Amino acid sequence: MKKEIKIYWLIPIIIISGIFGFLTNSFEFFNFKSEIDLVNLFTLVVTSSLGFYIASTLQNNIEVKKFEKELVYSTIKSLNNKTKNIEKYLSANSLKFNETIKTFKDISGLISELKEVNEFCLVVDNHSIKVLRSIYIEIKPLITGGRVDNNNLTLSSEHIKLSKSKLKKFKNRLIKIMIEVNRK
Amino acid sequence: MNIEINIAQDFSETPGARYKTDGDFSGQEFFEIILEPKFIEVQNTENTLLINLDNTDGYATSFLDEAFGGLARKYGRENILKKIDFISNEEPYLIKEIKTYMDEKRN
Repeated sequence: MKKEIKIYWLIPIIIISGIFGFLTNSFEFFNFKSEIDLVNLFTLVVTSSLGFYIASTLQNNIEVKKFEKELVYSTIKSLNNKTKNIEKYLSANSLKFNETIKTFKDISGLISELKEVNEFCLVVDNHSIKVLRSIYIEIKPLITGGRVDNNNLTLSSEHIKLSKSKLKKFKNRLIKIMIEVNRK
Repeated sequence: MNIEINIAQDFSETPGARYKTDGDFSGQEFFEIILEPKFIEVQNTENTLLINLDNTDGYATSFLDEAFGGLARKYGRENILKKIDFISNEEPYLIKEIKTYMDEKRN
């Protein structure tokens, strides 16, 4: 549970600290000089500017990387949803021809999108995307290469079994890519 | 000069499966009505047949194999590739996919 410190607790703490400071004459430890050392002043300005520059550059890099990762994540998430959709209807052997063809077109487009995005951000190893494409090439003919009856794709139990195992392979590759992105 | 086939405009935005018995807009229908006649038209000329694959809902493997694989089986892969070019901006990988269906070793 998140603990909250109420602001009014700070008031007595400040007062007690002030009294303690007076009683122990702590304020006398501070010496104020009326002259300014230019070298020290220059060092102070340079150090604080450098600190500010490093902090803002790092923050900017973190934000850019975060945005790029989110872009890749959203493409992977869409790919995962499309794959799950095919898997769902495949399990029930009730894949509709038109919808399935459209979904395959979307998946192919998303793989191309992932490749293009990655060319700019380099958050995924290109080999992983090639593997994803090669699994897609194996799945598509299995599901869309057969006969159609009244807009229903007619698949044999063997085809269904094989397609399911390829879809699982595809989803596993998506998970691997997500892990890869997260580690970058 | 190019002769263009725009599948979405000249045939259908929702190409079907392999055979006419599978339903409307099959690969067989596309082959017989559009692809083969247009190919014959350019075959012995300087012209090229440009096939635009964009603006459809996608293509089944059975459609592509029956149409383009069928053309390659009938006229030879190399003869086809000399005379045909593809446009596929929406799904660039589709061209490579079609070429695998045209592969003579595969057929």
